[in-house]
Amino acid sequence: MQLTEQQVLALAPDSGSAANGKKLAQAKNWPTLGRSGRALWGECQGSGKNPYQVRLDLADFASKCSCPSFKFPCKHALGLLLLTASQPALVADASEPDWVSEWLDKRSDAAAKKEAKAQARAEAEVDPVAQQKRLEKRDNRVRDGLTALQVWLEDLVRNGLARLPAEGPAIWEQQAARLIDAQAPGLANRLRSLADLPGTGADWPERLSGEIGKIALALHGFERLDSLPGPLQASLRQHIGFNLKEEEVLANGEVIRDQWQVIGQWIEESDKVRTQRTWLYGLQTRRFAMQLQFAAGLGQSFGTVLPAGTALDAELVFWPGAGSHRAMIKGSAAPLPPPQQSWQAEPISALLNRYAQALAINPWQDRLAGTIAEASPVRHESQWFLRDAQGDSLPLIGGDYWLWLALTGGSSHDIAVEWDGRYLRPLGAYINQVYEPLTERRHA
Amino acid sequence: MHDTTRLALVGTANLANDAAGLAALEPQLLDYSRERRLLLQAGSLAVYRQAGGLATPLAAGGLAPADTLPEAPASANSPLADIIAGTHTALAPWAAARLLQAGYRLPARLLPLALATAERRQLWFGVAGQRGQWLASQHPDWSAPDATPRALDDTQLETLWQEGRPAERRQALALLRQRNADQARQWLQAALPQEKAEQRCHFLEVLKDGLSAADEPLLQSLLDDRSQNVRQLVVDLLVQIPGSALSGLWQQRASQCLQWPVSSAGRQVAANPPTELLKEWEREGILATPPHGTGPRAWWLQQIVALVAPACWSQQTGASAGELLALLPQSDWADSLYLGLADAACRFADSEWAAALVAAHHAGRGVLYPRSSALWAVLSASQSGTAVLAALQAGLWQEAERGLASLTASWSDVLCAALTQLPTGSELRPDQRHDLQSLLELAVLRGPDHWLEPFTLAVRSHIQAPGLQNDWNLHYANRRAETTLALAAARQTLIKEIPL
Repeated sequence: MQLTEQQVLALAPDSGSAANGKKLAQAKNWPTLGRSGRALWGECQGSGKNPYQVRLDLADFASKCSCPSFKFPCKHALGLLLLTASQPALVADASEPDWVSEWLDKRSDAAAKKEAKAQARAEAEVDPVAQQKRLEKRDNRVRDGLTALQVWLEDLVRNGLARLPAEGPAIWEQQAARLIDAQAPGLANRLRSLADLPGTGADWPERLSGEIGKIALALHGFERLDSLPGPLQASLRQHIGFNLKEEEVLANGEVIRDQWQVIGQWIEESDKVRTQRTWLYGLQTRRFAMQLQFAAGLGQSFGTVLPAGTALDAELVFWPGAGSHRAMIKGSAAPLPPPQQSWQAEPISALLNRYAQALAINPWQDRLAGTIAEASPVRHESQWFLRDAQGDSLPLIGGDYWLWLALTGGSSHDIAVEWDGRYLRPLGAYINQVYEPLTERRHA
Repeated sequence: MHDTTRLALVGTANLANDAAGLAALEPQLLDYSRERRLLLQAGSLAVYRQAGGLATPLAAGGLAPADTLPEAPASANSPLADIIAGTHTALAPWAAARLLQAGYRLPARLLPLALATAERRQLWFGVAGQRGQWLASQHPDWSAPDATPRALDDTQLETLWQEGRPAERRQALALLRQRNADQARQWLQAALPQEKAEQRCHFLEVLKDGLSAADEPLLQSLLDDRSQNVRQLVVDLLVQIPGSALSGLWQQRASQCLQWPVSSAGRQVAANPPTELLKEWEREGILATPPHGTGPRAWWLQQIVALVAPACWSQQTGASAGELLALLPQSDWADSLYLGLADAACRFADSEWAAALVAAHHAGRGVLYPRSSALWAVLSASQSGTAVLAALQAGLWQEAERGLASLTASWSDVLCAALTQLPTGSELRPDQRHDLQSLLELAVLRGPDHWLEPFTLAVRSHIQAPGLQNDWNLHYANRRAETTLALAAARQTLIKEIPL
């Protein structure tokens, strides 16, 4: 599998790493280079006596380097990928040195062990009485927390939302902290995200009343959880914050094998944690999947790397839920040749239809991914829109789209997007048979 | 605003009536409190709205016209990005010229970078291609440099002059001056009384292009302007009009202050500046108060000489600039005369006198140091080449660098060879090493392509192993050489990737 320079740069944890990686992408820095069916490696001469040993698993672009950097991928791994992208001929097929094959073997061992552990845990004898007791205790705690939240929400609308812009964000933080104590972190995050909304934008009263209304709907639903359809129960429980462990998902989740096209990736940054959403599309099943990964602080790795614009043959295991698309790779994936186009592009109207259907089965659905056929960015009264061949347009989330316009010259292409009901976030475009990430943080 | 939103905003405690929500839900909500009913209605409405959201119909955006030139090869992307906005911006003028010459345009990927600032647009707009011009026209802040279209008709031009921004007004004026000088003067005359001093200067500078006797009456009328800057500019322009009253006047006055010996050598030049400055003279261009450290008479003499075309002196005496300058050192007023003559040579763009003055500077007349760059700029290409070579041989590296910087013609092989044979070694003083490095950096940036390699070797020969002591100067010099080598490498890469 081969990545383009842009795809490699999109993997960089920050612009400094990207710039340093570029500097290292010269043949003179690499006394040893090699590749095999599953890996890519090289030795990079640094300032020290011994060169750094860089190895990359081609299946998921996980990397390991002997340098002490805490950034992932480090500049050496980026340099190796960039060099391979610009001068593939330099990297010849070779037999894996020990330091490469040992690492690869260790990785596949670890994956196998994890799965076995999940299996074992799922099959392990648990004390059903003790477990039942634990679950009941947690349920009660959440229920108490939600009852208090219900009272607080009713207070809000009794006194009116108009006073909130003057109150500041502290009250939201306070309530969120209470929900954390009540073991409902999902709703806590939701409340926190509303802290800056009062007073922001002309439509804030409508948005805020809608958002707290949706929280009230979740509380209402949880009160009568048993009467909801099974998948919706699972969705609502996750929405509130009953997180499933990966082992539980691996053991019980729905498994789908397919050729998955990685249509885009977006990293959400907050103070403490970075969240990466990677969207995949299954060619046979026509199903979308989202890999959700977390990393604490800058520089920490997301674990497996699925670069946007690549494809892989893999088994994905899905979290339970109504219209759930959260999934993770089960076992190991085999890389496929990079797709030169999107396989399933749709007009904007079809995306909106799918969104309506998704909300019908799960009103707390956050966002959907899709690929809009034959679309181009259009600026209208200093707001960017994505416009498809039918003339339908949706607003694009704030960003710099001049590079996109420069590359396309206003012509239409298939654009991978994420839709949250308000804004489209462009993820990537298929321009001249090459996937072009549109989320690239500006490295220039 | 929907009723539900209004109720939530005001608060159920403050509004007696319930809001009409979704009717279908009402029967299920009867048992709940008003607040809860409101919350559930608001949440449901939000989901309804999300699910029923429609796309906005919009007209298609424009399409960029097709380009005729190919994009520069993708392998040049990375070095070009460094040259446009990274560590190698010093190479930008050369690289833009090379793209143009090789018949390439900037790759689309680099356009947002190259168009992002006015300074970059100035350099790169010419090689941005149709795509780049189109992109700039879409962006609110990426106006093309020198945006006044030559194709404006006279009415449009007048609108621009009446309503445009100052820079546009000046462009409109300059354009009209080329088409109809009389009318341009009328515009100017009508506008000047209302403008601030800065703008008056700004607009009057337009007269430099195509200055003629027809401009004399207007300029003469401005000699009593309120602003000293305007008066100085007016005098500057008036004396440059051949045969103007003021230029004749100053020739006459200067001849009273300065007498050159006629033909035979060995006699001194006689300078006799006025002891008191006449009001008349002050009005017509002489600043009364000298700068600190200069006597008033010397200061006046310098200015008087500067107002007279130096070719007059050659004519009057039948001697060359070099011969006349050779007489100056004996005079008590030598410094004022050198400076005055240098200013005159620059003002009247007299290359013969400029060359003689540069030679005098190199022969040790340090007083000319501040005028050196201005004098170099007046020299013809062949004069520059000769003078640079002479400066190199004399070890005047800073002067050679100034000369090279102003040299517009291509560099001769003799010159390039001399540049590769500059001294190196540890016996150089830090300031000498600094000057040599500046010279070589210029060679790497502007020298001919086929000399780049020898220049690179010369730069490399300046890197020295650090001695036992931690020599900061040497460390600095070595770092500088590394920077120059990186520039040379970037240029070498582009020469390879963008063949002519």
